[in-house]
Amino acid sequence: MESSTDIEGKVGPLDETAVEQIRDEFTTLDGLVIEAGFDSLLDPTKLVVRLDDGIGDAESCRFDVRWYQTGYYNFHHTDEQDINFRFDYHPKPDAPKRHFHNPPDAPSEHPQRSCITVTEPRQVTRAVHSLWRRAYETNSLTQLNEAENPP
Amino acid sequence: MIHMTTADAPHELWEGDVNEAAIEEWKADTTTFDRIRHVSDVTTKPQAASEIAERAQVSEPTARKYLSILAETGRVKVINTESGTRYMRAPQMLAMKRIAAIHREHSKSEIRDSIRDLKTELNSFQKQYDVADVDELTLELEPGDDGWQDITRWQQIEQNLEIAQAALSLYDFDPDDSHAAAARVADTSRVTGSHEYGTLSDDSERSTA
Repeated sequence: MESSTDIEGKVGPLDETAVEQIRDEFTTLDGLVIEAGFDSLLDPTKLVVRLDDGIGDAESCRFDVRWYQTGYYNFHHTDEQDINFRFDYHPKPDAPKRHFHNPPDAPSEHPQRSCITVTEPRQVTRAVHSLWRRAYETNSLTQLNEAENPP
Repeated sequence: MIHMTTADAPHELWEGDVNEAAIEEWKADTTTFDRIRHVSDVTTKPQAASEIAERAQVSEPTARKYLSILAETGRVKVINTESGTRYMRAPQMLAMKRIAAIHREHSKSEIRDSIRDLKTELNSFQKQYDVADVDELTLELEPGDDGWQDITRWQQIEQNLEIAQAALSLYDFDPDDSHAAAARVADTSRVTGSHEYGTLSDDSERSTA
């Protein structure tokens, strides 16, 4: 699935400095991260983070991350089993600004309220990573948007 | 542009709320100065020291002290208002980091190609929407309309164009002839043969991949 951002309001250009922070945070948080970099230095549109394993049967996975100068963001997970989910923060009519698009398809319509409430790029990255890591270790997609552990 | 990592994986899951854990773990892994730098680097609107202190989980005097240091090095911009001092990240910090990264990885001709492609894309937006600039289009859109992705893209193109043009202009900027100096003091062949790189590239940050 092509990375969709689902933007329906003003978010502004990418914040490269925030994205660099997210890159650095991901690479130090998890040894499974094998690559983390901008898609382009001259025309950056997103950070691509590749991990050497995935949830369940997936043998690898990827996060496409965008962080905008307004503080809005998209963290989009996908893997070769075509499991997609997104932790987003941006204006969206009829939905909370902070929302979660469910696996396996991450449909655009009717996202849930996201359990992530922190606002700094490095904190949001840590929360996304923790939630992914629990799903990875428990082989389960059902608690991805559940802040409490144990739930 | 791709960074390899050798970090080991932590396997312990958090206890309690994932948001509180994210803040606590960030605090545990950083100094107060790190946190002020992390927070001020992504501060895009003027804020009081007290607001930055709260976001960075440090005391207000500590925030004030480090923000002054960062202002002296040009990383933070200080704005004096009637209601007190405000701080935000300095635009030159952003510009220089991006230009240095481009000088590290790209040749002059690659930068020229990119400028050409970005201008072509910009022209096609102007034709498609029949507006002169992105602000005009912003005024015409309602929340939920199609077209917000294009606004974001359009703003991105304009910003990338400015950076690419600056990177090209400054590609050979070297008033102190630092390249020749570096070649004299360093005995690596890479420095002496580094004319393929822009002069603002910083060796200390060059990826070893």
